[in-house]
Amino acid sequence: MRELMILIKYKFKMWSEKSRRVKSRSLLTRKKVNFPGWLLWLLIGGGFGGGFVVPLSILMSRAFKQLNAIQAPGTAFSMSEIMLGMYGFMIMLMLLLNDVPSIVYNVVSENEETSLLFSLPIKRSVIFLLKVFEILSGTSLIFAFFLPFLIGYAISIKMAWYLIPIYILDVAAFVLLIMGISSIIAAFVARFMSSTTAKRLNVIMYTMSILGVVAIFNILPGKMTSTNAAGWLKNYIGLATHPFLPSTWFLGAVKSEPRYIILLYGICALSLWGIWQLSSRYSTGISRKYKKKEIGKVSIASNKSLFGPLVNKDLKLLLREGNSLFLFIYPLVFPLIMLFAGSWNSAGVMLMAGFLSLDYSAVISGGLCFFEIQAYPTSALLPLSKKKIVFAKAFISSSIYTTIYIITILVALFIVKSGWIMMLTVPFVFVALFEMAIYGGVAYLSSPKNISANFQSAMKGTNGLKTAAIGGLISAGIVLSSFFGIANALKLSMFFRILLFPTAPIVTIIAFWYFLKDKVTEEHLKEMFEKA
Amino acid sequence: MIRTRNLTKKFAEKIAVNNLNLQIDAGEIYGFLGPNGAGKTTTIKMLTGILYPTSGEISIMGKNIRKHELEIKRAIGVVPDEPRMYHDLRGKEFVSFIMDIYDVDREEAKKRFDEICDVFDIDYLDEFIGEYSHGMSQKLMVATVLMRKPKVLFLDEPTVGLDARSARVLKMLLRKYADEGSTIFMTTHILEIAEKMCERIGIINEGDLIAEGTLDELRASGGKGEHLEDIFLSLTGANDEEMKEIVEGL
Ligand SMILES: Nc1ncnc2c1ncn2[C@@H]1O[C@H](COP(=O)(O)OP(=O)(O)O)[C@@H](O)[C@H]1O
Ligand SMILES: [Mg+2]
Repeated sequence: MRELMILIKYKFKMWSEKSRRVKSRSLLTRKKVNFPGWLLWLLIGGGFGGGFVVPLSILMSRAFKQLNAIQAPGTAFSMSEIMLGMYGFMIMLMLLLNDVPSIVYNVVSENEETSLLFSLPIKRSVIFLLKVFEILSGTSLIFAFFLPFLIGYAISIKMAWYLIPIYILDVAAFVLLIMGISSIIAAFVARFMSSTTAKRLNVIMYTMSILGVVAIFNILPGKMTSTNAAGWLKNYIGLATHPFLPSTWFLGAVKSEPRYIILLYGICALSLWGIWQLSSRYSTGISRKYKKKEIGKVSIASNKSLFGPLVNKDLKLLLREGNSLFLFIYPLVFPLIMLFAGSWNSAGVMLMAGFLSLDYSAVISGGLCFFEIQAYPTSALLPLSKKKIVFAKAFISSSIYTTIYIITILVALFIVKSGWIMMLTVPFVFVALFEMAIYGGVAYLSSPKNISANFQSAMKGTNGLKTAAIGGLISAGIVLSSFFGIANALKLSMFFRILLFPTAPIVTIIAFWYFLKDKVTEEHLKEMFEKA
Repeated sequence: MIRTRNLTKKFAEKIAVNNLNLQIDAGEIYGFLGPNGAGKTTTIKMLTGILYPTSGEISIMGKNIRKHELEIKRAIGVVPDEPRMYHDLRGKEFVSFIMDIYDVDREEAKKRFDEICDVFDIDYLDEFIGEYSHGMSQKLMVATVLMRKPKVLFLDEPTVGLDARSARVLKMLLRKYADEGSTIFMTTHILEIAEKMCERIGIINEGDLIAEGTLDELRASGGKGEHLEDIFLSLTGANDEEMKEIVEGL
C-alpha cells in the first residue's frame, strides 16, 4: 500500500511538473505568476459543480418527481426508478466500452512507462493497481457527467440522510464492479488484440462516448421533462429491469431489495478478487504482433498518386493516427447535435462548425508537422523545400475540413431549411482553413519540440489556446458576418448589407495573410526545423 | 567534391565549429574523428544542408550549397547519426516514399535495394518503423541511401548500433562505392575503422581542426605512437599518466 501511495504521489507530481515546465518555458519573458495548482483545480471543480452539476441536478429532480407517481406496469418499480436504471445502464455501457480497450492498451500491453516501472524494485501487483487507478481516474469524467442524474433522483425522493452514505456506497460498488468486469474482459481480449488495435479502439471509444454524452445531454432532459415522458419510458422497462444486468442490481440495491444487494456487493467483491488475482500474475503480455517471416521479396508499390508522394505519405500518417478520427467527427457532429436538439439557431451552429473546423485545421497540420520532427533529420535531408512540406499539410487539412464544412451546411439546410447563404461562405472558408493550417504548422514548428511527444500533443498548451483564439476570430469574421441578422442588429441600409457580406471575409483573409506572410518564408521555416 | 571555407557555427555563445577548411576530392574516403561534442555532427549537418552555417562557404560538387540546396540534396546521400523515420509508416512504404521523392529509376533502385537487403538481412519491411530497434532502423536507413548510389556520401557514426556482421558488410560496401568513384565523408568513434578504411583523416577537437592527413602524415605532424589511438589521444590532449591515475583511484 505504501508503495502504491508513493507511485500515485509521484504520478501527480509528474503531471503538475510537466505543466509547470511547459509554462515556464513559454512565459520566460513574461512576469512569473505563482498560481497554485490546487486553486486551479478548485476553480475547475467549482465551475463544473456550480455551472453544471447543481443546476442540472435541480432540473432533473423535478423531472424525476413527475415520474415518481407513475408505476411501471408489471414491475415493483416506479417510472423514475426505471429512468434511474436506464442511466445506470448507460453508465455501465460507456465505462465498459472505454475501460476495456483502455486497459488493454495502457495496462496489459508494453509501453515505455511499464518497462520503466518493471525495472524498479516494486511488486507487480502494485504496478497493476497503479495502472488500474489511472484508468479509473481517466474515465471518471464520463461518470461525472452522470452525477446530476444520480443526485437528481436522490433529491426527488427526498432520500433520508442516513440512506445517503448507503446510496453513495451503492454507486461506488457499481462503478468498482464495472471496473472489475472490464479488467477481466481486458485480460482475455488482450490475448488476441494487438496493442495498435487497442490504441485505436481506445480513441474511437473515447470519441464515441463523448459524442454519446453530448447527445444524451441534448436529448434526454428534454424527453424526461416532456409531458409524454412516461409513455416513452415504457419501451425501456425490460432493459432497465433485466435481472442479469449489473445496472439492475444497482437499481435493486438502491431500492433495498435483499437479493440485489447480495448480487451487487457479492459480484463486486468477486470481481475485485479477480482483479487481485490478475494483478499478482501481472506482466505486460502483448507488445507487438510477430508475423511469420515472409518468404520472398516484399513488393514495393509506387506511392505515385494524384497529389504526389508527399501528400500521399502525410495522408497515410494522418489516417493511421487514431486521434484524427475524432478531430474529423467533432466539427461535423457537435453542431448537428445542437441543431437536432433544437437548442441553437443556424447562426450559432454554423459559427460553431466554422470555429471547430478552423481550429482543427490548424491542429491537424500542426500534428502532421510533428511527424516531420519525429523523422528529423531525415525529413530535413529530403530534396524538398520546407515551404512545400508545410503547404502539403495545409492542403490536406484545409481540403478535409472544407468538405466537412460543406456537409454540415447541407445537413443543416436539410433540417432547418434556411441558411442557404452559408454556401457563399465556402470559398472564403476554404482560404481561411488553408491559412489556419499554415498557422498551425508554423506555430508547432516554432514552439519547443519534444520528439517523444505524439500527434495530438503537438497543438496542446499555449499553441492550442492561441490557435483556438485565432480560429474564433476568423470564424466570426467570415461566418458570422455573412448572416443578415448581424446586419439587422447593426441597422445597416441595404447597400451596406450587400457590401458587408463579401467585404468582411475578404478583409479577414487578407489581414490574416498579412500576419502570416513573414512566418512562412523558406529562411524562417528552415530556422524552425534547425531547432528540432 | 566537398570544399569548405572558414566554416563556422555558433550556438548562442558556444562555438561548435570554428573556421573549418576542408577539401576532399572525388573517390576519396575521408574520416572525421573527434571526441564527444567536438563538432562532428554539426559539421555534417552544415555540409548536408540541414543547418545554416553562422559564417563561411560550402560547396559540394562545385556548387554553392546556399544557391543550389535542393539540387545538392537530391544528389548526395546522408546517413545521420540518429536513423529517425516516420514511425507510422511500414518499412516498405518508407522505401517507396524515398524512391518517389528522389524520383530515382525504380527498376534499378529496386534491384540494388533488394541486394542490399540480402546482405544486411533486412526482412522486416512489412512492420512499422516505430517498432524497429536502433540497429534495424540504421540498416534500413543505410539501404535507402545506398540504393540511390549517390555520388557523394555522408555518414555520421554509421556503425553505431550495427552488429559485427552488418558493420563489416557496410565497410565492404563503402570501399566498393569509393572504388567506383563515390566520395565518402564519415565520422566515427571507432579508430580502427578510420585506420583501416580512410585515405585521409581529419581530427577535430572543440570545433578546431587540429590535424589532417594520411596516417603517416599524422604521425609526422607530432602525434606520438604507432596506432591511431595513441596519435588521437595525444593530439586531443589526453594524458596517459593522468588517465591511469584516475582509473586507479576509482
Ligand atoms: N542545437 C544545438 N544547440 C546548442 N548547442 C549545440 C547544438 N547542437 C550541438 N551543440 C553543441 O555543439 C557541440 C558539438 O556538438 P556535435 O557536433 O553534436 O558533437 P559530436 O562531435 O559529438 O558530433 C557540443 O558541445 C554540443 O553541445
Ligand atoms: Mg555526433
